[in-house]
Amino acid sequence: MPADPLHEVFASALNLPLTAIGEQLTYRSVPHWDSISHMALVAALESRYQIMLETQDVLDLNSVAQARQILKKYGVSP
Amino acid sequence: MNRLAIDLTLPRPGSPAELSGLAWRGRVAWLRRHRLTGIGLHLAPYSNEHAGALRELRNRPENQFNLAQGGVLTAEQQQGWGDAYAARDNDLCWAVLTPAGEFAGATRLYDIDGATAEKGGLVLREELARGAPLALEAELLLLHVAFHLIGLHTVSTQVRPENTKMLSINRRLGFVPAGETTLRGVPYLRAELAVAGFDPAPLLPILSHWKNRHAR
Repeated sequence: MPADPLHEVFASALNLPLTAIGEQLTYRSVPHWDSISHMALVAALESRYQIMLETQDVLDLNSVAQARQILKKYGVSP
Repeated sequence: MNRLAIDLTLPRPGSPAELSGLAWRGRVAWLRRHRLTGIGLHLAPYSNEHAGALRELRNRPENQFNLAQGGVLTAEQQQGWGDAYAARDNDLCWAVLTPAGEFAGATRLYDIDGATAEKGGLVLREELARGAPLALEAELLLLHVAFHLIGLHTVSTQVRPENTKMLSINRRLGFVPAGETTLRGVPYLRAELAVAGFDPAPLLPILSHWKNRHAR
């Protein structure tokens, strides 16, 4: 089964193995998701899906599941 | 206040010629008179105008813990720290300001001896730091100053083991573990970064992305 593309983005930005990424992964739950990784994640999402997140969405981006919801606002369904 | 623009995404980020003729104390003194302007923030030399905002930030529970502050910092204590800081010549403390000049936090390079220094005291308003790469650019600018403007060969840092986000940031910056220590009665983990190990290249695409974002 091919990897979930959103999970791939998270794994790359957070420097975590793909197996460590799940829908319930949150900002608070892993040390790797620090403020630098958060910016890497935003940059990766924006580049991959050719969007520019609003500031509030950048702040609200607290979990994989939340990212999926936010991306829907921009017409992206990863 | 004089200003120095430093764009870390450029091949020559900014290194003023007037620093080259100065010994390290002169360079530190010069830096204390100049505001550093990066891509998405300013590092303004700390002064009493920042005391209230910094005290409020340092008194947030997570910062009280991470800094092992031992309680709420009073206005008098912050003023006393500011006065002592002003009298030192081996210490650089900056207020981190947004491009619009809003106070976002502070960071510090201290115990500078011409070859080594400590970095620490990074505190940022999370509501701003999670919306823009303030921590990344502040840290990279501080290290650029340490290694390329002052000419240090090693920067050390001490972080509480429970401060896992800061430990992660330091790993990303290239810091390597250097043992344990105790500060104000609590254990800290030490880490070091030598100039030869300072390679911001993997992190610069993040800044470049946000630089392009600002330009849109």
